[in-house]
Amino acid sequence: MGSRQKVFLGLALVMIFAILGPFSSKVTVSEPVQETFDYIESLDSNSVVMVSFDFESSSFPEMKPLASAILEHLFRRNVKVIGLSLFPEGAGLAVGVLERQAKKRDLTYGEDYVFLGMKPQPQAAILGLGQSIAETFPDDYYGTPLDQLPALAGVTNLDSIDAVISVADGDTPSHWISYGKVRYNVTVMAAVAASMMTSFDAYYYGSGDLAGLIGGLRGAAEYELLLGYRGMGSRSLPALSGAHMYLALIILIGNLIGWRTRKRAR
Amino acid sequence: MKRTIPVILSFVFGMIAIVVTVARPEKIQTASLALSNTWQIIFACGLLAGVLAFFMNVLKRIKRKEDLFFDSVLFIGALIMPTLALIDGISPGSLFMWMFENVQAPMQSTVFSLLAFFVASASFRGMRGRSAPAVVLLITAFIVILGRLPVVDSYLPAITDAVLWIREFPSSAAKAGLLVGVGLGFITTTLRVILGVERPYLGER
Repeated sequence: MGSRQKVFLGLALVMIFAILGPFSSKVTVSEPVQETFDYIESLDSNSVVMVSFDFESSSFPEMKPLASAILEHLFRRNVKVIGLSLFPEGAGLAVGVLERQAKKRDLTYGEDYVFLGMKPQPQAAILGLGQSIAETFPDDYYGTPLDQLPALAGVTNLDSIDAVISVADGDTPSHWISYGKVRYNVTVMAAVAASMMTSFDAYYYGSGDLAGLIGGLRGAAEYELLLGYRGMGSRSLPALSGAHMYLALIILIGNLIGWRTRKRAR
Repeated sequence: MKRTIPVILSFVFGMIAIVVTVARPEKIQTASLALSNTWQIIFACGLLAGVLAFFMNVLKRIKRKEDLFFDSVLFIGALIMPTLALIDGISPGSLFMWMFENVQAPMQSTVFSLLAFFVASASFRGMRGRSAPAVVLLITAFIVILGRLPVVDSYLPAITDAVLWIREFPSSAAKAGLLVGVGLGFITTTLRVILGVERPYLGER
């Protein structure tokens, strides 16, 4: 077995052990997550929030806990949720997450939440939503005209929305900021994959363009801690921690082996 | 004429897009919406062209019998989803959605998760302190990896603070410089296309 296969096997064993073992991890809540929570906590049943599920199947295991935690909080605050997606795969995945979370609270489609479906080309879709939601999405995902949905009464464009939360695995939140916030002054928050945190942390969150930012499984775990339940984010933490520790260990081992090899060569 | 009309169209629509972006949206609402809708239609047509090109390419490969088994599986697999969509629609509860939720999405997630193994292998082989800058990079990466651990948060908050400092200052500074360069390059290239200096749509630079 070569060194590569040993590394693969080691990681697989660590992950299996971490997932199946009786482990739990404690997190401390970071400032961006706390601000996101505080903002949603300040909303009420008169508020309307647009949640844009801008991710694809490949990152679904990471995005699902984020989306679920945010929807749980929005539904707890009785906020009207308008769901949509700017990616084809996102629409198919989002409708399942939305329906599952709504079912937990016995919410009614059309009155408490709606799902508009998918529109391609994020920039064009956001510009269109800024002008008119009904012109951009004449029907919802199920083919119902928007004027027949009570949740959308009085909601005409992004001016009528209290906030947009982009749950994204890429840079779609930057389009929401460039076109939604800058042109139409809507509050934008983002729940992004951990790999995208560095892209949004200092520039957009640090500058105030993003009112809140949650990143990756760890961010989802922090949010679940604030909501007071142990969801997928919290349950994934042992595996995440195990993988990180394993990575740190093999970097150390790799360097020790390299150092010994160089010493012998001299 | 064949070469002049695309250049004129590129200029006209490029200028319309600039005006619509810069001007106040209320005054040019109709034009703005029309542009958004046109953009989406072109994108959808582009997707269709891409799908047709994919099928034609696979059929060519099957004719040449380069890798008959793999190409045949690819062709049949690619036909399954549109066929299901045509037969049963794409509404929730349809066969298409069942295949998407229970076959396609899990397979895509699984393939993407293989990345973790390749990152581990690349870290083992590549992250070696062979020179002074490499040692600095290695130590930084080590600190950032440790800083993501919840247990480190609780017992070694100094490492978490160090990670935040690294993200906020040196990392952001370098990335900001890159982004400014990319943005300037983007503006330059766009202007060159709009003004007809570069004509990629005609297959030339």
